[in-house]
Amino acid sequence: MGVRKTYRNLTDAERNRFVQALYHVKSTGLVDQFAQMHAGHFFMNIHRSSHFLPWHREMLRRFERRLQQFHPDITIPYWASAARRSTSDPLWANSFLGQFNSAWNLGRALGSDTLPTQQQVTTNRGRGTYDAFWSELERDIHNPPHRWVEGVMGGTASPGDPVFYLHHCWIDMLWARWQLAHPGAPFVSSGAGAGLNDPLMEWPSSTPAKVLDHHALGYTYDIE
Amino acid sequence: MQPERQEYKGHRIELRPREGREESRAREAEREEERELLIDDQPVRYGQLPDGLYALEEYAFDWTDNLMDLARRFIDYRDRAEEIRREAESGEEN
Repeated sequence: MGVRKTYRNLTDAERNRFVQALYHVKSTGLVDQFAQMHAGHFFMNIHRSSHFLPWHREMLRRFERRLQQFHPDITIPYWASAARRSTSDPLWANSFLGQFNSAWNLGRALGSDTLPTQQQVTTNRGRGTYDAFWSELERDIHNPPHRWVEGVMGGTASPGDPVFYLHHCWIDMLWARWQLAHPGAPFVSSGAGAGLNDPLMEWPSSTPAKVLDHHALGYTYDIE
Repeated sequence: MQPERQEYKGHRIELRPREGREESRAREAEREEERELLIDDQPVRYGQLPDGLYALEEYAFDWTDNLMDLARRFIDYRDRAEEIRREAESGEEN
């Protein structure tokens, strides 16, 4: 089972391999395809909906599988932006994600908004129901890092910036951690078409029910 | 539906019915979806999330039920980002 971990714990070899895998999937057209797909579904049920977390979990899983075609040991690392807040953090070094700003013409302006705080993350973790959890997580913790990075990351085609995947890996980790802390909490639908067994946009054979257990999808997190 | 115009920090914001559409719509809610947003005479693409909140395609992660307010927030955000880029460029030159 693959272990997703903070980018800070990547070895030099793992980091370089991940960077090369990103260039590889960009060359295959996958990055642009995912960016267009995300933009096309943006105003559907993938945001502001109970499908927000399941849809992005499925998206990351599919992206990770394509990275693993480059090298089978790759897992997506996460960026915990509530803790790693500096624009001069190693995440943004030219040896890591910094190089993509010019290479892929991403137009970043790091620091354009404020990042979520640890207190917000802690408070959100204590929400007792799925609907209270995901809606606050999306608005107050997921949205700000998109605005903080700016450029491609701030728009509907945000998967065009590779930091999208590290950011959403963190959001997925926060969901997984919340699930482990609230094992009896049921999935709560936000409305029509957003139920537990309703198909996910783009991938009609997938539903929230099929992605609730991330271990069954073949990965775990370093915090577990 | 009448166009709505506002000056904001030296920028012109305009909300107007899309050309040729206003006469064909009977309900206010439907006309609402047909409004065109312009900032400094440039069209700004937007959409509505499942609960009706607005977001801009270029500034997609700030959501509100007031399109004019969102346009003002986008202007502030864009100005701040430009300032950061200018500072970064000036740092590289020095």
